[in-house]
Amino acid sequence: MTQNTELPLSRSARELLDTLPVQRPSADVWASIQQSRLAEEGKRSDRYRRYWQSTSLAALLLITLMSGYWIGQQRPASMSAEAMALQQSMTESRLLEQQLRALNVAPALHASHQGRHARQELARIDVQINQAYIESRPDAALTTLWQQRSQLLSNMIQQGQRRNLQPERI
Amino acid sequence: MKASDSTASTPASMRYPTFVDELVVKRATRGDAAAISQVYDILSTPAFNLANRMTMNRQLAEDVLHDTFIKVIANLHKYRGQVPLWAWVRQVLVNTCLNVMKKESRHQYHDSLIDEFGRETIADPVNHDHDHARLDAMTLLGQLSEKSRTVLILHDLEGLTHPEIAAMFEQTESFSKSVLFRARKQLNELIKGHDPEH
Repeated sequence: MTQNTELPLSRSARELLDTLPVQRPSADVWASIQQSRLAEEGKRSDRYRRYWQSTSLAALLLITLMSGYWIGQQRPASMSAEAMALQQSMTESRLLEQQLRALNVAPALHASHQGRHARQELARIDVQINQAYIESRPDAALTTLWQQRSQLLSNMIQQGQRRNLQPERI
Repeated sequence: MKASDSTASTPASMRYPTFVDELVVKRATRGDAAAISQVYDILSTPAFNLANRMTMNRQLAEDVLHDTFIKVIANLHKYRGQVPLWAWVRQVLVNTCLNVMKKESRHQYHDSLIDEFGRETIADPVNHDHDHARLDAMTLLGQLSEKSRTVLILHDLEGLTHPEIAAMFEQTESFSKSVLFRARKQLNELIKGHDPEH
């Protein structure tokens, strides 16, 4: 049997197929389609709302995490720079203090009004520095105090050097 | 509300319209609710009849129609007009129908067929009434296998070509030709068997 050869429909079969009834679907189908579409649109808008909510939340979380990471990255460098500045100002201050002692100008400074004022100012700054360490104040604040101390010591050295050059006035 | 009369039937020779005006199609593809409703008005009858003949079950056919139009409406914006809208809808419908028929067990809709047509010829072929006056196309189609019936309907009633049918079944053209051959032969024999003169 060659099944791929077209077997014609008999006339009776063709006539019979022509009598197939044409029916209409019930009206409920369209109503049901409308209802399903409304439900689907509702679900879709819910999905969109949930999508935007979760996206916004995820973005917020990401921004928070990235900011935290960035701050974390920035802080050690900043702290390190501040610590270095503090270390530098402390060293400078100590060197100037050694230099002042080496000049051996204490009696001369003590004798003058400016010298006494400078020594009082130095004592006041030292108290402030001690207080700052007790209060665990930031490095930047300590650096400022150490710089003030260095500046004062530098002035005292200049003052002492000038006195040494004029021994007759002591 | 869509006009309907489930009992009304007209001869198949009075072909139902499947042409949808281009302007209506354009409006429908843009989501115009009135145009979509108009598309349904025109195409629901041919779609329902095709589904009804394929499934031999009115309820199932309505379910297929429902699912088909849900898909069609959701994807109307993708329709580019390369083929008539009916051909596009029909393809969705046939695919939906084939999937539904795979899922449904055979006896379920044979029972329903009895309710629908008030006969026992399908569920109980032994008691088949040989009275020619009661012989009708739906009854005979119901005696073909799902596959044979579907191919016969698509080819001889819907005018689809073998390549188109083969594509719908994801088979070769030979498959479509072979099934059609068997379907026609079986139908011719069934008619002869019902004819009192034979």
